[in-house]
Amino acid sequence: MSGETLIIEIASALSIAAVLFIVSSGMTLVFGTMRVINMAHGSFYMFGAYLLAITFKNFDHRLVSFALALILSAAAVALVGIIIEFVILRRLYEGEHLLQLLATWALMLIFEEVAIDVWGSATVTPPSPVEISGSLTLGGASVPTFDIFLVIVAAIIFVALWLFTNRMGIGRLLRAAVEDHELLSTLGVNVRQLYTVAFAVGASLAALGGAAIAPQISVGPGIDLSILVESFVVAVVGGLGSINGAVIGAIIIGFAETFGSRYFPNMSEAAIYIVMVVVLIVRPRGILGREEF
Amino acid sequence: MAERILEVKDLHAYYGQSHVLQGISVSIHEAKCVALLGRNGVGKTTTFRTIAGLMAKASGSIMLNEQPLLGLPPHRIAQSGIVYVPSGRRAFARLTVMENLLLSVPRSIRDKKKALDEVLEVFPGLRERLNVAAGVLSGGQNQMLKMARALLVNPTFLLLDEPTEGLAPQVVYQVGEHIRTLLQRGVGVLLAEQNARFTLRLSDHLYVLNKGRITLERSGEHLVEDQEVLATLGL
Repeated sequence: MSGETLIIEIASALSIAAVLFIVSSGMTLVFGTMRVINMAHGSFYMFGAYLLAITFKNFDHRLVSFALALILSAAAVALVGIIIEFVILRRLYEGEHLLQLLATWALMLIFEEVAIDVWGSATVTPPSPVEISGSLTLGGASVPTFDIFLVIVAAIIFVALWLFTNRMGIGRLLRAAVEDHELLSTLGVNVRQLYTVAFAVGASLAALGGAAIAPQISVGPGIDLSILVESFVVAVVGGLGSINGAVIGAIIIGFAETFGSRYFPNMSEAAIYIVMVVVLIVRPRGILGREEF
Repeated sequence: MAERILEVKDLHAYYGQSHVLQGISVSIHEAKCVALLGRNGVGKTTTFRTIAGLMAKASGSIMLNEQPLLGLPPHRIAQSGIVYVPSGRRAFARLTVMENLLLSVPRSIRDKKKALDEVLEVFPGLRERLNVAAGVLSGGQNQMLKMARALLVNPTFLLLDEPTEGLAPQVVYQVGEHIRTLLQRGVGVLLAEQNARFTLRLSDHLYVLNKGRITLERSGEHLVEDQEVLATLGL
C-alpha cells in the first residue's frame, strides 16, 4: 500500500471511530450510571439522522446551519429520551435486567415501524455542508474534509463529556450514583431525576452521532440495528461504563473495520467480532472496564 | 419556633414475607440523644431505613412536627431534615473527600464554600484529606466524613447507625465528642449501637429493641448506672 492510500485509510478509520465513539459514549454513560443496556440506543441514532435530513434540507447548506441542525436533532431526541425514561424505564429499575432489555428491545421494534410509517422505506441522504464537502491534501494524499470534520466533532464531544463528568456538579452526582445511589438519595439528591438527565444525555449523544454522519450514509430503515451492534461492540471492547474506554474501543473497531475490509474482504463483516473476542479473552471486562459486575 | 419533634408510631416493615418491624414507636426531641439498643438483627437498621424512606413495604406513622413522612421518597425525607447515616464504610470511594462533601450541599445553597468551611470547623481532621479519594480514609476518618456529609444536608435529626463500629477506643471518644457538638447545635440524634456504655453516656432516653419490638424504655440522666437497663443489656 502506498503512503497516500495509507493516509486515506487511516483518516477513514478515524472518522468511523469518531462516530462510533459519539454513539457508544452515550450507551456507556447510560449503562455506567443506571446499569441499563439500552437496546433502543440505535433508534436514537436513526432519529438523529432522519431529523438532520429533514431540518438541514430547509436550511442553506452552510456549516453553521449544519451545526444548528445537529443541535436541534440532538435536542429533539433528548426530549424523546426524557419521555421514555419517565414513562417506561423508571418503572423497571427495581426489576430484573432482562425486563429492561426486553422493554428497550420492544421500543426499538416500535421505533423501526414508526420510522417506516413516517419516512417510508426509501433512503435519503442529506447534502454535505459546502465548506466540508471537498477534500484536503494531507501528506500528499487527498483526504475527505468530512472525515476530519467528524474527528473534530468527536474530540469536542469528548472534551465536553469530560468537563460534564469531572467539572460540573451534576457530573459529580452521576459518578456518585454509579457507586451508591441509595446513599446519594439519603443525602437529599433526587436520583430519579438524575437518571432522567443521564438517559437524555445518552440519547442525545446517539442522535448527534447519527446526525453528524447522515450526509455520508443512506439514511433509512435498518441503520438503527447495525449501529446498535457496532456501538455495543465498541462499549464492550473499551469496558462498559468507561468513557475513556469508548475512545479506545472506537479506535480499535474503526481500524478493524477499515483494514479488515481492505485485507480480508471476504470476512470484513467478521473483523470487528474477531477483535472483540480476542480482547474479551485477554481482558474479560474490556480494556478499561472495572471489576465490579 | 416550637420545639421540633420526630415522632414514630406503630411502625411496621417487611422484607418480602418476613415481618421485621412489629410496631415500633419512638420519639426524638431536638438537641436530645435517644439510644436504640439491642443485639444484631433485632431491627435497628431496619428502623432507620424505614424512617429514611428506603423500605418498600412499611406501615404506621412517621411525623416530623405534625408533617407525615412515611411514603415520601428518600431524598424528600433528607431535605425535610432527617438524615440517615448508615453503618460501615459507606462513601463514594472513587470521589475525593471534597467531592463527597460538595455533593451533599443542597442545591439551594449558593455559598457552597462557606457551608463547607462551617462543617470542616466541626470536623477539622478532614481538612488535610480533602483531595484524597474517600476510599483510602481510615475507619475513623470515614466516620467523620459520613457525619460531615450528613451535617451539610442541614439536618434537624440524625439517624446514626453504629458510628463506633470497628473504631479504636481513642477514636470512639472523638466520635462521642462530635455527637455532643451536634447536640449542642440543636440536632436531635437517634443512635443505634452495639456499644451500650458509649451510647448510654450520651443519651437521656433509651429504647431496647428485641425481635422487631421495643421491650424496654427508660428516661433519665444516669442511664449508664441504671441496674435494670444494664441487666437487660447483659452488662
